Amino acid sequence: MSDWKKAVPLISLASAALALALFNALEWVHLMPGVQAAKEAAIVDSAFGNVIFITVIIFSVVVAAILYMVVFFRAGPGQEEGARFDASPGKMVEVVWLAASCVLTFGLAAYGSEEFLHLRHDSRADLDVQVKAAQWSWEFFYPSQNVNAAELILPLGKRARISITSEDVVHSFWVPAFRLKQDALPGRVTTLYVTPTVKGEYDVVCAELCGLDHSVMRGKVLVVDPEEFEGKLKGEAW
Amino acid sequence: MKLLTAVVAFAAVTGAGVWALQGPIGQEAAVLVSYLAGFLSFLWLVGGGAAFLDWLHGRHTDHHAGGPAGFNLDHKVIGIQYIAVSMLVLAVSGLMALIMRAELARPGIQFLSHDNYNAVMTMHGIGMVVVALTAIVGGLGNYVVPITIGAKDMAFPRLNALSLWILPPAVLMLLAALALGGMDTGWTAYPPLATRGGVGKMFFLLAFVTVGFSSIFGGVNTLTTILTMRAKGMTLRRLPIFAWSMFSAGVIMVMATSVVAASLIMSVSDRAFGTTFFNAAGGGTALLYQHLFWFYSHPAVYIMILPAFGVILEILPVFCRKPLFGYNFAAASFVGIVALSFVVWAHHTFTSGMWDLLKIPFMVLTEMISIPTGVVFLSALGTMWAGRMRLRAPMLWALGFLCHFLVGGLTGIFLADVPTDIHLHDTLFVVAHFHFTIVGGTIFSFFAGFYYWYPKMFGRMADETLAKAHFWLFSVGFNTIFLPLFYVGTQGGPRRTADYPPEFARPEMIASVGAALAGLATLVFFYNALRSLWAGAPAGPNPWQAKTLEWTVSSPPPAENFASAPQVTDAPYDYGVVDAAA
Ligand SMILES: [Cu+2]
Ligand SMILES: [Cu+2]
Repeated sequence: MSDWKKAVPLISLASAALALALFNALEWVHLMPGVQAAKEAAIVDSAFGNVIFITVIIFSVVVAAILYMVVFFRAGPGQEEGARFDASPGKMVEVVWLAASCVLTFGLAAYGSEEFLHLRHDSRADLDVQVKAAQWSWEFFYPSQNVNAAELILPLGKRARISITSEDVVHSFWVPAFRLKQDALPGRVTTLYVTPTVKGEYDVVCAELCGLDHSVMRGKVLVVDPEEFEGKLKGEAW
Repeated sequence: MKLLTAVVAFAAVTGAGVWALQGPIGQEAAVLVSYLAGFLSFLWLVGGGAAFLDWLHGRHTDHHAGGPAGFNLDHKVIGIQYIAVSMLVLAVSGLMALIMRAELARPGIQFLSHDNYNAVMTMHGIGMVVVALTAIVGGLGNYVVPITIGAKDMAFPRLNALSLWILPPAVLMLLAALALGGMDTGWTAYPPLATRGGVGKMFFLLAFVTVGFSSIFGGVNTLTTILTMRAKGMTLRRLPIFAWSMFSAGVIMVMATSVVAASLIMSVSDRAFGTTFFNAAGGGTALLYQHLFWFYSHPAVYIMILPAFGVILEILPVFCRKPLFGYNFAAASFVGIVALSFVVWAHHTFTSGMWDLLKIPFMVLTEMISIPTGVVFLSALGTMWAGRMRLRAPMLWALGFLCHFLVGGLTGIFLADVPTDIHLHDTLFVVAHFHFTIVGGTIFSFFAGFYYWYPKMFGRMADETLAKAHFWLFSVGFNTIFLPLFYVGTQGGPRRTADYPPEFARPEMIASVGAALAGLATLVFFYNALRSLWAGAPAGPNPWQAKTLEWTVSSPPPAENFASAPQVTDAPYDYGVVDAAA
């Protein structure tokens, strides 16, 4: 038992220090892209933050415990044999550990489900856009305006329904600034809902390996004021 | 010599077949037929022919007739052959990784075309999958399982040799595919891309199917061996934990591999015979492949990782001089992982357009895997607690496993959680996560087990200083590669790209430097592994004072392992226990 008196405070201290250092390091490198350009991006970022929080703490506790054992439970010279242990597997520890991991797991899953339902809860939209992926470019069509465009133009604050399909192989439509991604499949239409919240120009990236020029299959999203939207769209049309 | 003849015959038969048949039956079908012919000639000439005729006539086959580089039936020889094949493939695929990282050191195109990059990347991926599937399972598993359960050999020695010897043709096919082009799909080979590419893709698919069969044979053999060949007194509660992990992996190998084989054969058929399983224009669907593929390939990561857990839990008691903590719970959690592994595959298709509400059960089930995995970690930590740790090379690698696999597991939560996965799917974050689980898990564990059983296999100790240098160099290199890639992934860097925007120049450069370090570490490993064969200190039967059965016989063990059938009377890990039998 004397092991615990020293171990608990030391491991707690070490894991707190490690967790703090990691949180600061992560803050400093700033993991997610700086612009959070859509309502959906805020949801994803908050989910990301939650998972970071839990995982950093678990990581720190386990690594601190391992470090403690490496330092304090080393065999001294001549000490390798002769330790005496009770062979009982410590059922209580197992049960507590199991219960804790169940709580963590189901808690995380519940959180994740809720956030996910936030992302995809309704199918209403102010605007429709059709995206067509083909090796190795993106094409956008606005059915109500009957306009084709080479760039995705979206009005600020309006919920857009983006229907995605592919001409050839599987691609994946990804806008990192929106934190949203949806595969483009041949012979099928998939959908994505996004409400842009920050004006600007963002990248569209193909995330699914689609052959030769996959690396350079990129496009642009323009988020503009709703008043400018129609005009901008006419200007881009071809 | 036989081996060389067989390789030449394989190349000649396959090459000539394609050349002669592509006119009359079409290129794709010609590849299929010629490969089958070449494959059979290889097997026959490498010694499978003689063994087959013996079987046909009911004759006994001398287990060692094949010699060290032929169709040998001794599980110990086969285990070492597996390690040799798998380390050769590791060298080739590692070289591919170095080529990739060199190309990616700076933005823009340095020396590879996009096409060559894709081929190199695909080769790296499939090659390393073969390594992860064979190094521990085929290598250490074959060598250790029969001895550790007190058996003379595996249940089916001929099948065992077969599952090893069908691998070389697969590897040759992959190398040929690399030369022929068309390997541009990554190891996952999603159609329609995979049904479009050049003829090299056909080679790739056939090689992959072959590896699958090797795995199925290996699984059947492992299951039967563990169920029926245990020594007297070796109850399931006394089974060494590594054998438990191999048994669990065996269940997956038998049950899941057939599904990926089916999906690959459907792809082969789409290519060679014009069927349209995955072709939308013909009424098929590309998404079907993804589901079939991941129905296998998610459980497959547990074929890679369960035996890795087993190796680590085998090593910790020996080096901490304590009984394995929570043996029953650990064994039960292996079984739990097997069960769960079959119902989580769709976490790979969260962004594919599958039905939204179905994503939630898959998220919950995926995250539930952390419960049994946590139990394995508790066993590891509980074993180390208040022990008398000897920080020898195998122990060091085991600790490396715990720290790195922990990162792999925790970063997996980001990919199981649907909201974060929508952003992170198909990015370098996934690549970094996966390498932390499979390199941080399987490969670290393989090295731990390799240094642990090396004296048993070769009768000499591997050099301790070099093994530790290998560990530190490799750990530093490995982290230097993949930590920056987590960052690039969250920032918007997709995976599998030959080029990237200039803003990622710095992290990508750091990753490339790390790759050089990891490459150097691997050279240290090969040098040590080969040199210690004759320069290592003689090991004696039990250099680590371990208690499982393989350490009761000489190193290397005699041909039939035990002079007389061993009798087991107590649990395998009673180190320092008060009333353990001496
Ligand atoms: Cu694409
Ligand atoms: Cu998976």
